[in-house]
Amino acid sequence: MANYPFSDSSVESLFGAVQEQMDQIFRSAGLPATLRTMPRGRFPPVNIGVSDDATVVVSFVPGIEPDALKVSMEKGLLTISGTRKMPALSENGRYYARERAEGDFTRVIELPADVDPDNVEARYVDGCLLISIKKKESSKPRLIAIQ
Amino acid sequence: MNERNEFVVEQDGRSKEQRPANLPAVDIFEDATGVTVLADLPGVTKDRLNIKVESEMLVIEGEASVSVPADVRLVHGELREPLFRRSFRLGPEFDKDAITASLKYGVLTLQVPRIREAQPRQIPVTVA
Repeated sequence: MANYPFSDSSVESLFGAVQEQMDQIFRSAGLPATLRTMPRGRFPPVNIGVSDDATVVVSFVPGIEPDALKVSMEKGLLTISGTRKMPALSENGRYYARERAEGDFTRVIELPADVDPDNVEARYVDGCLLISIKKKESSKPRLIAIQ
Repeated sequence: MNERNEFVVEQDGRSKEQRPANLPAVDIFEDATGVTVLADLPGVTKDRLNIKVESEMLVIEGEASVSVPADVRLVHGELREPLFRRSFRLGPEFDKDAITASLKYGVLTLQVPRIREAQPRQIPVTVA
């Protein structure tokens, strides 16, 4: 499945081409996509908020053991990744519904330029990953007194 | 009770049943003990979770809340509505009084056992 808009997806059927188009529309709606931040699917959903002294990223990713979650930051790109494992089914068990995403996931979010990479805090509470990145001191809004 | 006979009225005038709600993703599987439902409810704590069984319907309802400082403005929201709601129909073979629920890391696990008479059993065959 193509992740970049300028590559050939070599889709055989017409239906496949329509599907690919729809996927691209949905993928490009939302976060601005740069080469490194192409969203791969919609799990986990993220909400991003800003305040005067921090950028807050909330990712809704329930059911993960905290040590299976990884948050890293490099050059203004925040990467959230992890693995969700499903419990094994007993031998005479069977599934009626499997809607919850399973397996590895990754989301890369481009942060604004005024964040301070040394001042990041991440907490996992009730299935929500709360990441708070403080802004650089020099970028905070300041009032300038008029003489 | 208001004139429409609704018991719960929220501040914005609409009852909980009328507010739009997210459908939480669920995994449902069955094994020898009964049916297990796993529901993704991120940000929902025990006190904001409501599970009820009414005649044949099992209704899961929860409200998510995330604690952020007051001056944070949302610039990109993929999950905007904090309400989660989903209902299921339970057949008569399930023991509605023995449903157990647990919440961990935002995942609700519901165990719905079958009533004793409805549990699958092997009938031994004697050869006369």
